[in-house]
Amino acid sequence: MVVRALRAVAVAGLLAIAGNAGAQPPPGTQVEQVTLARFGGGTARLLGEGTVSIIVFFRPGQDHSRDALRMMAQCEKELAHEPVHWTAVVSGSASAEAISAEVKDSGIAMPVLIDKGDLVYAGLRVILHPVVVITDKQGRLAAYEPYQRINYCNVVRAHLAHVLGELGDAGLDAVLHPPPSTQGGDLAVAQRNLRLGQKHLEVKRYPQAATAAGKAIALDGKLVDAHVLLGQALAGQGDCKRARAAFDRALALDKSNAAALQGKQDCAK
Amino acid sequence: MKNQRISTSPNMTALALSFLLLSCAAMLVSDEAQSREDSPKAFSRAETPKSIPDLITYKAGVLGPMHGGEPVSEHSPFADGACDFCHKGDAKNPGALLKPVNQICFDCHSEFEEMLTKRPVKHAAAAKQCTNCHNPHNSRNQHLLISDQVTLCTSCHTAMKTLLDTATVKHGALAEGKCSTCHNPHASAVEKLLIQLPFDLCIKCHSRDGLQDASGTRLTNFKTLLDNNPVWHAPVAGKDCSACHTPHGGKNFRLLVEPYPAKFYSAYEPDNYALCFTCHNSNMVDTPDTTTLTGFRDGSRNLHYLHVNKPDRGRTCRACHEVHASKHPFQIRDSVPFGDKGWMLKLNYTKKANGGSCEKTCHSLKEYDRSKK
Repeated sequence: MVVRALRAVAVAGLLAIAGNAGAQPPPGTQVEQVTLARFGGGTARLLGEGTVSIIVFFRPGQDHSRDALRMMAQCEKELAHEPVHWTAVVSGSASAEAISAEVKDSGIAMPVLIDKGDLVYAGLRVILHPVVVITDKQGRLAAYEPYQRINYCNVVRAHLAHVLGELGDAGLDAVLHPPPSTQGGDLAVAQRNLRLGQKHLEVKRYPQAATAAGKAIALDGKLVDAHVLLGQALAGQGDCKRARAAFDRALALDKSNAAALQGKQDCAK
Repeated sequence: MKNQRISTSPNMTALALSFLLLSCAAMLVSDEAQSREDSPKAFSRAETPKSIPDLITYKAGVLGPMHGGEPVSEHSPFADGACDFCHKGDAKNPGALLKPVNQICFDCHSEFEEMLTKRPVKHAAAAKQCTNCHNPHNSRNQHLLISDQVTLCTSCHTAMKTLLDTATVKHGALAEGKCSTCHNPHASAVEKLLIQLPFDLCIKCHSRDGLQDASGTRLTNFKTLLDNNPVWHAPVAGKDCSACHTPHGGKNFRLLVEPYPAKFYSAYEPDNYALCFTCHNSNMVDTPDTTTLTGFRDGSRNLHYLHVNKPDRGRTCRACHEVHASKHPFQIRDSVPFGDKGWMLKLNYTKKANGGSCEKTCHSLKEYDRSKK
């Protein structure tokens, strides 16, 4: 319903589009192909033919647009191997000098289309700058992403992969809402103590190995190898009674643990 | 400035030379990075240092064991006298490292190797050498850091130091907290080494009742606000608080990246609205007649222009819109303050197919219809 009417580029059609201004069109909305004047001369199409399209709406002289264009220039390079039709769209009211400056600054390779009368803007209800619009191979609206200072290219890349069927809904969601990048927490520290203790054990520093194993177990009581390590460290110090108890705790978690079985057997000798 | 490259061997014979060559980590940044200190932008994408120190040289209390004083943190192998885990030779006279620093660290700290391998955003200083930030023996700082966290981070991130030193409005999180409250100093799935997307980080603190700014003004509980108001401003929906707020410090009220009128009425000056115009097109309030720039129009009569673009009592954006979230379309406010008695006047906005209306508010019923010829 939106840009469909642009094909005609007739005054009556333009008014009909303009009358629909308001909230953004929902995903799945058909965006119709249109040919626009290309900055630098000639014409170019808004959408690719049978390919996914990424359309970058920007405004010269605006910090966010400049930042977005720089990010999209990098994105464009990184996605050069993908079957994507990239275009940038700028209002027809922008001066040639200003457009030229932004294109040069950002290093984008995509064609810049001049939207005379802001008809594409109105059709897609782009009232913010910048905005990245992604359509699927059939030209249906797949994503409408206003400027994001953080992870903008990642978001675009994820939408592209989603549209191409390379990324499922869960994968897309993981990019749009990434889980915390933590330092690892208690489980990681437990593993760290386990490895430290194992190194001590290798050089027969049994008390230190036992201490490290104890720390690991305190942080992760289900860490089988830590119970085994504790048993081995205690056995190394001749404390087979407590070592057996440690091996038993390991075997309670993993009844076929070979090292724990061996440790118990060695202690029985 | 060229980076300094010196062996990390704590062999005492090398120490004298090392002392001479060590200035401090702060100097290990390029001239290019230094020049960015003059950048006027509070949050510039170009602030990341291009030059990362390769090696911070061995020095007692920096990378070597402290001489005197009580350590705040101590590395287990060092405390255990297990010098042979990292060094050739014996404990009394430890020699050169067994292998490159990070390979030694990852023998036990393998989670960081995994982090630096799998996460897309990596801290170059960490990827190059753990000892760029950590003393492998003991330290007067937590986590074996070679200096306190802010000093350490800003020794390379010099533009940030300048910003923190000069900002007239500072984020309370920095006054009270640490860089690692929001940034993972090793690797992250989010740009800028953020632990989460900006919104998810901000909401951790800004979802409390009673949080106050430096002047004692109570700050909004955003969880409550957003839970009760389903129409969110696009940057909020995009989890990007940093689109409007600088997270470290700046010169504008509420850490806004650009000026925004604090009052209900204001003479229309585009510079006053710089914040909104970072995304919204200023033509929206500069153009009396349009069929494309805004949906708030009666036919082609631009009602944003009508309300805002006045030489004296123009209505600022806040007069009609909530900046974060609202119950109404276009984040239109439920009510506006009226007079000085704390009265709130309902806007009574109704959205219609081709327009909308406000009534019994600043004015009696007024409708607009975009389809009007």
